[in-house]
Amino acid sequence: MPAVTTIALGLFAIFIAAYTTFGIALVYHIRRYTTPSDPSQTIARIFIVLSVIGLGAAAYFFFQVPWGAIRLGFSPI
Amino acid sequence: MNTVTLEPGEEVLLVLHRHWFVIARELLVLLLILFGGMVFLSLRTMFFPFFDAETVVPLSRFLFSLLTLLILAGCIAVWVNYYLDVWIITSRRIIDIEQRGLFNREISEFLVSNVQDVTTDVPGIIATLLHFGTMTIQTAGERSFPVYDVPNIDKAKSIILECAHRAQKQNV
Repeated sequence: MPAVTTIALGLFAIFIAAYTTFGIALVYHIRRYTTPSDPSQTIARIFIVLSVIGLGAAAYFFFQVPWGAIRLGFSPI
Repeated sequence: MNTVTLEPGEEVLLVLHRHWFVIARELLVLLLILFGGMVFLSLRTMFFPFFDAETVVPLSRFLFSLLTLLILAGCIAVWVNYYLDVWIITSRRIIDIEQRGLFNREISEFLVSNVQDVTTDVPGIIATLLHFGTMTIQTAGERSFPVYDVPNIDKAKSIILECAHRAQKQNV
């Protein structure tokens, strides 16, 4: 696997992990500090659904990028 | 919220969140950033002379999807920070719950009977038109509690002072 692809995959995995962690923390706060009937619970569900769709779309677009065709640095003339 | 336990005979008179203009302003900034990303995405063709079009198009879509996720997380973070800041005025206490980012929550409360003075400050044209401002509550212990971006500030002040006077009469 080309180096650029490996680096890109690693960075994308880190992004997914960080985003998921942050999202879980946000949803935890909403569930912890609001009542079950509070409108924020609905907002939390919408956020989860949109995040799953967004991460799926990001993964799809990630694999559309021809990472192997990207060169690091400059090619000699 | 569900971390507040009422005493016997205590009733909740008013629950206040910060004025909606505060969250609208912050969300607008995030939406402007997203709009900037959309503009950049639509102008990606200007990179074609320098980079391969077969790389620029999918790469720009991927980066925009990441930006969208970041904006989404930012919006929900703004909402959490806004919605979990709450002031609860009961017949006996004023409870100030302040969410400072993640995993940092401060809860202050003081007795309504200790309230000595309530000062309101409505700065600027927007606050004046939308009726929100800063309320500073002074207690008998000479401590001041500033409460920012309070909606319906005059009503909140009236309720607090009315409760304070009633509580002080009962104590006398």
